[in-house]
Amino acid sequence: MNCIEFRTTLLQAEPMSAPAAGEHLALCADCQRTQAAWTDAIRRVRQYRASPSPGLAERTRQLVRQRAATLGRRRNALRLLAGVSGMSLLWMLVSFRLSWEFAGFLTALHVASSRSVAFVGLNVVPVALVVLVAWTLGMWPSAVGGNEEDFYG
Amino acid sequence: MELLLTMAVSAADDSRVLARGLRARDPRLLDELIEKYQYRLLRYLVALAGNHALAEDLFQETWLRVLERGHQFDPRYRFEPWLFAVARNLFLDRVRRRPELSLTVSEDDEERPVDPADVETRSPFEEARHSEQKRALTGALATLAPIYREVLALRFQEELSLEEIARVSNVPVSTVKSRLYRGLGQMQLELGRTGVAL
Ligand SMILES: [Zn+2]
Repeated sequence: MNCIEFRTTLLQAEPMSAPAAGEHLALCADCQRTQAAWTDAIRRVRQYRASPSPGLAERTRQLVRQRAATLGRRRNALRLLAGVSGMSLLWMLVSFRLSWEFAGFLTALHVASSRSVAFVGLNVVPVALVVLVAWTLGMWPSAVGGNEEDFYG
Repeated sequence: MELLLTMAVSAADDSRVLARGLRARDPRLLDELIEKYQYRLLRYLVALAGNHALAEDLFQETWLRVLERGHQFDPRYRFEPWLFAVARNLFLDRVRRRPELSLTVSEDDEERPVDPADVETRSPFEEARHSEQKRALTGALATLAPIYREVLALRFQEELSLEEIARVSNVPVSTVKSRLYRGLGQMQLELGRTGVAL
């Protein structure tokens, strides 16, 4: 073992844990000085303490609980929105023929300018209504406590 | 040998349980983790930031980030290095907004051998920053550049391996070793300079 290997051993583990390190140390005055100095420095590093101010852990726990609740509400809002969107899509597929016929009827009554416009209106309006209701009730995912960007800047 | 194997298996199981709890955002688990790691995390953050108030701020942000990004914890590794890496990334985000908190030293500085002038000659600004750090860091780490304080704290207080420190700091193991050498060297010089316990 040479001096560099010995010093690397000192950094990696408790001094003298490898037999070869002990042998090198016994013969090398330079490493004996380094070991003494590093042992002292390491002891001082280990002495260093930082105490949390009173209540820091409790305040943090409360913050975390609040954020967890917010994230939970947002997850539920997303699930609700996904469910409603899925149902709307399913309804559109199932009622395709009916909507098309009804669009033709509306055009014949001159309620809509063309059958395609009436068809799009019939299918988009319910989805827009769902979005509007979710927004109004504060269940839109971005409306559920979205202040993270402010917090993290 | 059998005992060591049992301990390793149990640690792996613990990591998996922890990963599941973090993915589920289990509030009781988060409570326990905050309790368990409050001293170690704060100590690391003070060593990193050199400022107690900022460290406490980052402490809270770290746990919020753990809650939000818990699903990113990889149970193949220990929790502590991941926690410290989350805290470190948040500190670096702050540094980007407030460059005076800088953690890095230049490449040249890292290559340079330890020079007694590093600790003997300080500009008035550095002296002011130095005394500010001393108020926050009353231990021997106070006199060091943050980048060296960080590795020394991770290695000798938090008992992370060189490989774990490399993952936390996102640098090669060789860089971790050279920072440890330099950090210990600077402490030796400072101790020699003051000749008293810091
Ligand atoms: Zn030697």
